[in-house]
Amino acid sequence: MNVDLEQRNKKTVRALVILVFVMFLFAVALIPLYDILCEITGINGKTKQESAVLDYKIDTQREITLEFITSLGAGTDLAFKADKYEIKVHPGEVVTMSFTASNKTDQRMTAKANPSVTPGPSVGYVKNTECFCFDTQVFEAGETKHLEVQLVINPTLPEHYKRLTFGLTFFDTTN
Amino acid sequence: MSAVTAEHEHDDHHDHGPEKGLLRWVITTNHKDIGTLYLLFALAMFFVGGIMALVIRAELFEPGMQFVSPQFFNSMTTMHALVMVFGAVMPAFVGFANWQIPLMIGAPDMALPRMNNMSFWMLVGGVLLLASTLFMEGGAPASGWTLYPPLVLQTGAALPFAIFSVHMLGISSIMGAINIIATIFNMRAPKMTLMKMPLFVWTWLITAFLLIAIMPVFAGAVTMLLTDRFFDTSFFNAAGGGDPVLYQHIFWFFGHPEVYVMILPTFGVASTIIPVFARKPLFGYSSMVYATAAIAFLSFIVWAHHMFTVGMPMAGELYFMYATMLIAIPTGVKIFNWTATMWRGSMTFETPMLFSIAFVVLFTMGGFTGLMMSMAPIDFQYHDTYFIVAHFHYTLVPASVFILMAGGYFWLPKWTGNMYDEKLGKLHFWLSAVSVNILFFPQHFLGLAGMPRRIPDYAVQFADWNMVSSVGAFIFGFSQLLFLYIVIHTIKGGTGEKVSDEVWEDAHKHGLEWTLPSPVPYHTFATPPDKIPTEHF
Amino acid sequence: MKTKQLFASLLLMAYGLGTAQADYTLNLMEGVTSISKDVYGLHMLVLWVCVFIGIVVFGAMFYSIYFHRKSRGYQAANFHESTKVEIIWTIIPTVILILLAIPATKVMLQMDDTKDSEMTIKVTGWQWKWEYEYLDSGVRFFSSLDEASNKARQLDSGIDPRTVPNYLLNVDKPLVVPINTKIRFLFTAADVIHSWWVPDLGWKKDTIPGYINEAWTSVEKAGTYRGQCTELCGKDHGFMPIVVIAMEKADYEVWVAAQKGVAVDAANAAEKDWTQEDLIAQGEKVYANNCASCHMADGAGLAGTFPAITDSAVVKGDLNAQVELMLKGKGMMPAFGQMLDPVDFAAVATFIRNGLGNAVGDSIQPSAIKSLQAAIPTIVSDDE
Repeated sequence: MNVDLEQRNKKTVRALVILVFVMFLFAVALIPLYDILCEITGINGKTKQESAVLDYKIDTQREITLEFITSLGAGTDLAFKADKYEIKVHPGEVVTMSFTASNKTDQRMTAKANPSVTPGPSVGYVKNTECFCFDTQVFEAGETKHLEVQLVINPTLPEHYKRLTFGLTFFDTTN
Repeated sequence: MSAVTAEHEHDDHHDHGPEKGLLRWVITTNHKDIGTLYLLFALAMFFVGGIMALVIRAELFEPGMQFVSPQFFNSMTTMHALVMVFGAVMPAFVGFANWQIPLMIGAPDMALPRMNNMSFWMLVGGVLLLASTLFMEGGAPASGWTLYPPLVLQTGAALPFAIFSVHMLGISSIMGAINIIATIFNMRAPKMTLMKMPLFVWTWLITAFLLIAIMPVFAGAVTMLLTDRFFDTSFFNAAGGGDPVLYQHIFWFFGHPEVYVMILPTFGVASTIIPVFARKPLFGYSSMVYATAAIAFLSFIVWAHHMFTVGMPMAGELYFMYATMLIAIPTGVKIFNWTATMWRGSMTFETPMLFSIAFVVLFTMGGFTGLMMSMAPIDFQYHDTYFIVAHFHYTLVPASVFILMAGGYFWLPKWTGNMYDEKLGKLHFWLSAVSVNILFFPQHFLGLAGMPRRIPDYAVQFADWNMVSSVGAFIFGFSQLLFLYIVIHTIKGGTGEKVSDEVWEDAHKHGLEWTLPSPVPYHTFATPPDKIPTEHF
Repeated sequence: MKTKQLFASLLLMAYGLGTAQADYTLNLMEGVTSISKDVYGLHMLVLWVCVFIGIVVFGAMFYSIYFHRKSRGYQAANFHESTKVEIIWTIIPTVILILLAIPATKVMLQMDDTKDSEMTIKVTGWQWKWEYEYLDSGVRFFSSLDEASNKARQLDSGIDPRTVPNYLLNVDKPLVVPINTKIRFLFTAADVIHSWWVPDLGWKKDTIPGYINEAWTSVEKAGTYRGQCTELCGKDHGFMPIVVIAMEKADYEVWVAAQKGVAVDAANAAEKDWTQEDLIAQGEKVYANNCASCHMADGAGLAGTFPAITDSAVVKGDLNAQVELMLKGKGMMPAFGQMLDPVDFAAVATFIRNGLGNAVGDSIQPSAIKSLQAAIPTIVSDDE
């Protein structure tokens, strides 16, 4: 085989190997990309922590039903519920909902909750300023905790949304 | 050591014939030997995967659990898919590529012969490792070939081994793809411009790029599964802020092009065989090339049609529905082109042609059900039922597998210099073509009537069609033993009739390989041919 | 209270009668909702489009195969392209696709519209049963494969599935809904992904742990509608059916009232002291329904995959450790903490320590389990 072909093969292989690594990095990059995409489009309805203080004008003409759904992962031995199942809110109004969670075991438990808003595309309008789901919670044996979620609905929420569901699922993460 | 010295050693090697004895097959760097190894390995895995399919169909022969536990049943569906995809269909096409691409473009060998050898043995290692999980504590993976979390994370001891085997298979495929691209780019005969390459070479070039683009993504996804299980990461675990659906997005970003990795070379072989037996040039060569490229491109932007039911926002559902429907256009162009190639030809119906025609017809059937499922609102009914099982088996078995058979019958006489037994070949075709429909057609009914896929037992109203399907499966499975016999018989001398250099009437007009002597010598095109057949424009 | 429950169960039976075994069908079912009928219409439309294209393409192909063959002496033409023809067969399919996409988009938008629903049911997928929670009335229960099917589906059970009514499509407690009511479903899962499908409603939806999905239906006709889990969720994926009984609104109200009585009875049963014999007797049934498919009816397990109960170190060891394992699950073993009520949980925990070849001798009371188990969240309704 001639030297020229050798060189060309080497060049081709080098370019393709770079492509392989780029694609691998792309796969890894999909993780943050997906989060960003979810934030924009609400693919999985996950809320983000809002850092800025939001000062919306309260739209007293509109009323949205806000529903709080609590769930437990398999093997998560907590009692967990929202203190109210659903409330009516005006867009722009700061709402605080409290939850009660008790550790039913005689051991210390760490648990984390995952938030999920449905319908998905509305998630961009649900501004979650505080949520116990942003941090891991530690429960002493038998401990009962009162936990809070604070949120504001952006008044630009499209008209057709009348009911929003805020779901929280606790998972035992002790191990 | 520099690659230059390595190649010099390789040059010396040219002067000898093949090594004697078994060692020849271990250390060979000859593209024909490696092609043979790939094809024989794929054939063996076709039977291994086939036995798993028969375990599945035996259990489903009647309602009630008769032979295996539900867990083992799930392992069988998972392993059947993995073995057939990564062990049988893909390696078989790599085998064809190894044999045919250098012959079709007038190259002496593949561009990187040593890597070629390595990628084959890596494949064997990967598949054996995968098979070994069957004997591990907790059994083989049983979460379906898609390996969805969180379910896959419940796999027993087998999980890291299965993932490692996926890595090996991926590296093997990537090396094979790099080799194919380097060969096609750098080693074509002087007059073989890109738009004069046989369509089989074109489809493999595009397939190889698909492989390079998707295999690292799959490797990334399964690596994240591994770290989720063993290193406390939470990529796909809601408890740690991850999302299991993200895995599905990454998987299908790989998975959808992956199914085209199995179908594009199928298109290439069909486009090679049909013109020879229609005695007419391929209709619409350039539109075939563009259609293949279009299908490959679309395969990257339609992945979430596998996930219509995961609860995407409406805009996403609609986008993926429209994008998926678009695939029907280039696919339709291909089917129309094959029909037009046959139109006003002077056709004969040797076994390769029979399999190719069956491919066009039955692949079109798979295409129809594909169109039906592209429509998101009705896919809410079809999704994860036997309807989809019927769909993708129509695009894989009477399409890819039939074309692999067609290619075998088509090229085996060229490679061995011996003719297969045409009567037996036709018998094999008719047995396969009839039984494959008995096997898969009733599955459309089952799916529409409400039978989910991946279940080891079913309600009694599904009993009749399951029984029919199982009968078809056993006929189809045992018919393939006939294929095995024909292949061995042909290698050992066949009908005894000496085949001509072009094997098929006027085949020399269709490709460079038919200008070589039969059987093809161990080393070919040491100097590139200065003429190429003028049939491709 | 008792008569109410009796009446409710009679109602359930009346709705379930006459459908002991469904006939097999070849086509998609039309279903009993406006959406399912639209979906069916769309299915038939695209099916006929495919049949039509098939006739044209296959017709041309077979004409060619018959007439353009060498054995008939047909001479091959030599054309190999025609821009005009190629443009035509690109444009025609494009037009057909656009015509199909329009009605598909319409149906899609309707399916997405969960506005103005009259009630909400939360569906949670578990390995391998469904949990239903009526968010408006607080009724909550698990629904799993019925006992007759469960017995017959064991490996080599010797029971002919044809003798089991609605084999594998029957549950112990069906989902009951009122007809002509817009019902919103919220879907989630506790362990792995499942998918909830009743063909007569016209759709399926995945249930994903940690996330919530939404769908709606309004059943137009009273009756019993059956479906299954459609996302591979492990060993017993094929054995977690769905049964929906749709009834007149008045009947539904009676059923809801009766369910509240059932909850009170269960709570009372959990409070009283049980004798060991009663627990073992109850536990044997619970074992057959929940444990025998992995650990085998005789407790021998399956070597290498599912551990034996007989002579198990866990069972012969500390009672609390065994209960903890059962509550939380491990690997392929589901967590039964929230799936079994305190009585069944205590019964089966006691049974395996004193049956299946084990004789530890101790037992645990439902009340003790209750304090360990996650309490069933009660709904505080809000009428502000």
